[in-house]
Amino acid sequence: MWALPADRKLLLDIFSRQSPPPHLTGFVDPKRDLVHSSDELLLLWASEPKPAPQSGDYLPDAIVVQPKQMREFLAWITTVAGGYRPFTAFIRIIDPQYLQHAIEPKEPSLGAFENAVAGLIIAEALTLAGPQRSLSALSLLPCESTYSYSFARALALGYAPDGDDPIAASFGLARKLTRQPARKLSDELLSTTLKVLSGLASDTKTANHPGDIPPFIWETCRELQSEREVTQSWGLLADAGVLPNQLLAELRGPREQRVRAFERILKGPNRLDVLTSSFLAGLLADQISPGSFEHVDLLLPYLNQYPTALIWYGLCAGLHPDSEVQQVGNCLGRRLIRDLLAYDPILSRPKYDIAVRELEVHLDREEPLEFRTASQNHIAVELLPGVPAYMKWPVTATEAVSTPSRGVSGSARQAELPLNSSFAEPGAGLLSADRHYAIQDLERAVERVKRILTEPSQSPSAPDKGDYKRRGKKH
Amino acid sequence: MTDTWWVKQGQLDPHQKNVFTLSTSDDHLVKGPPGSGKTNLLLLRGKQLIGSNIPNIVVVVHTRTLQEFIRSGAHNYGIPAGKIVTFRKLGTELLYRVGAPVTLPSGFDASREVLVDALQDQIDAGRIHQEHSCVLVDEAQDFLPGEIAILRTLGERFFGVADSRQKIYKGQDSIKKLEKEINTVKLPFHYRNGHKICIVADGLAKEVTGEPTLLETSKYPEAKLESTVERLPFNTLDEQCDELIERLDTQIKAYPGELIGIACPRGEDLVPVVDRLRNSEFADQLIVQTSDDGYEAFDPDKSVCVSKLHSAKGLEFRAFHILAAEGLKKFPLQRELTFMGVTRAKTSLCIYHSADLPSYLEGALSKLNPDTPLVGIDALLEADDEEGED
Repeated sequence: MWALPADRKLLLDIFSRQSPPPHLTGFVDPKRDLVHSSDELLLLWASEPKPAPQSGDYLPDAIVVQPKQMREFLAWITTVAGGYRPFTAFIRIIDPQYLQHAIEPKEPSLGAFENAVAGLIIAEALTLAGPQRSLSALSLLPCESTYSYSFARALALGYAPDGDDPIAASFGLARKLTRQPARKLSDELLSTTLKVLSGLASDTKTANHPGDIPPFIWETCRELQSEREVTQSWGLLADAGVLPNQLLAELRGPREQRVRAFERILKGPNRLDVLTSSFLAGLLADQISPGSFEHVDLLLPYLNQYPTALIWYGLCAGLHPDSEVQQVGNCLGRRLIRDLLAYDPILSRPKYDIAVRELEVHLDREEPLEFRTASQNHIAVELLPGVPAYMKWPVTATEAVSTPSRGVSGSARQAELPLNSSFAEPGAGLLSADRHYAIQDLERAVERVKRILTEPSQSPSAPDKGDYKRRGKKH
Repeated sequence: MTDTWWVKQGQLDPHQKNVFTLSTSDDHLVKGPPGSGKTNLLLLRGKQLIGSNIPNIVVVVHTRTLQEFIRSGAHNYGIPAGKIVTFRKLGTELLYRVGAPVTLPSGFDASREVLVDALQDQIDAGRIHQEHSCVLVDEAQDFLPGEIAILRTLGERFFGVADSRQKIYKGQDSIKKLEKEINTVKLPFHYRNGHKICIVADGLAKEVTGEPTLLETSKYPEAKLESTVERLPFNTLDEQCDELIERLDTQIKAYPGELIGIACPRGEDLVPVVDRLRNSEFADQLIVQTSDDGYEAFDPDKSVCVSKLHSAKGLEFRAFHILAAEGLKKFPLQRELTFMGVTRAKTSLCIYHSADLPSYLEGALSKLNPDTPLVGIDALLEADDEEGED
């Protein structure tokens, strides 16, 4: 790896294609000198910098920028390096906290949690899919557009060593910038599941009970993972009066008996909170055929009552040591794990449309800037180095909500990607922002027409001055 | 996830792998209990031959339902569905082709004899010769010796799979003769039947051969998927259907993507059962296989197969319902027929009846509760009433 402390002038020289090319001096030992560097910029190359054969560019593989200067730097670089737009589609701009990951890249790994991650992602995609939910119709892209997918990628890259959620802020920012509607699953509802996963993944042998996860949920998941089945945790459930002992015995019998017990429990009165009851519904579905994840259909009628039941089912099924989750949906889970574990060192060209911090520069302004995306109907935003989030793009006003919310909005429509979305889109490569803003203009015009038509006191043939004003301004 | 069709190396046990070492230039017979993987090995053999550029094969079965069932899984092995035919279809088409069409009588046994005679006449006359590089025969125990001889003439090589305990049609046993003539391989283990189903099936196996029982040779994952056998007496067939329909609701949920079987020994009992099912919420799930209603291709979106018990031969179901089981008494080789029927079930077996069951079936079912204490005399006799004592 080659590293060069730099200022903006040097960077300009590199991008202005001087002839002869700039003479680069002052390279430093990245392992020794960079960690505490206070230079404005650090340019990083995976191998010795050489001019590109045709352009003569010395393009670095990544640029390290201090967090406080990030937005201003991105605004500057996207202005001066107009030939590279979006800039972060070509060169990663990273925060110094990812420097160590750049210096010593590691193969992504999910350890013993590949099945659990696959179950979680597929279950979230199905939960978000709406009434047309079907495992057989589910394709890769809707799965990879889930929060769980981005979270799992961050987990695999070692960005969540202490169980924290490293993508929460950037995922929320990306959704807000791209005007995604409120999610069916609030972050709060999903977060407990992710905490369990990252808590178990952090150290399975000595993992302590994270304080904000109900004890029986934590213990049950630990037991599923380490003992293959729930034994002692059932005692916790019975002691807490959550389930009568008789029903627990039925859930140990032949499968048909388990189905009948499952339905009796879920149809019965429910005095538990949403988190506990959803977990229980997912766990009981898993107990019908532990680790198989083949009883999704049984849970679907109850998702209004137990909104995260399917997600808990996916996690519980995936925690079994002999889980079959990766094979469901014609090996959909296996494909997901393949992509989650794809090697993508920071010092390599980005593979996504744009980084979230640059997206902010492009869209969070009065006149948004145009940029190109790979697909006509979705955008791949890089949240953290190597961690993507796929989102529907552009989003129409009828799909979007004006203020993205962190909570559940039961009636909010969701602009999630269709079940069978694919990565390869016909006509990909059009200027998505063009379409996005053209649609916005059109929608504004439609709203105006509606407003005019619904104002009873005004006749279309005799508009008031205000109407003339509005029209005049527009046209 | 259904495990009926398997094609991966890891799914074969050493005995099954051994079948793959058998020379393709010799004739072979593979014997094994129900669920030992015979049909899968037969189809894998077909796949091997086609892959070795020997595409001129034919898979011959005895019943139309079995033909449709195997065709439904043939794509897993790269075998064109048209290469899987019944003996009757194969024979009548051959006769038509050589200009000697035959009109078969309506009786089952008589039609078989007429067809065999007609084919043999053409072979003797030199008008029918070897047709295929290899003839692969499923459920070979159900073929008459004459039929086996014709099939061996039609194929340069013969590969058959069989289980003598499942011979349910009248006629001479062709397997003993075949075993003397060609290489025979035995599969000791089976994977289909849950332990309780094995107990009943072992109770039905009449001969004491010293060979291990189905229960002893079972590799079924009983701990993971507990099996059940239930005897369900009702006053009428209609009440049996009520219970069946209620159970189907649970079973379709419990075993997604798996086949559930329903069968009656007698055709006249099957008609009202089919009517009830067609008027139930499961109408769009039905695959009806009867000579009256015709035979239809198995559809992965339909999970309930209805047929006569004889037609269920060679098939397997996660849950199997035998209705009007008292009708078993009507048939010759009924004990073998019952054995075959019982071993169609993988996990759940329900036997419904409205009259007495055959005694051998009663006896087999009683093996499920071997520790039931002997009823004492007090329970057998009515208590003396006080007035009588006076």
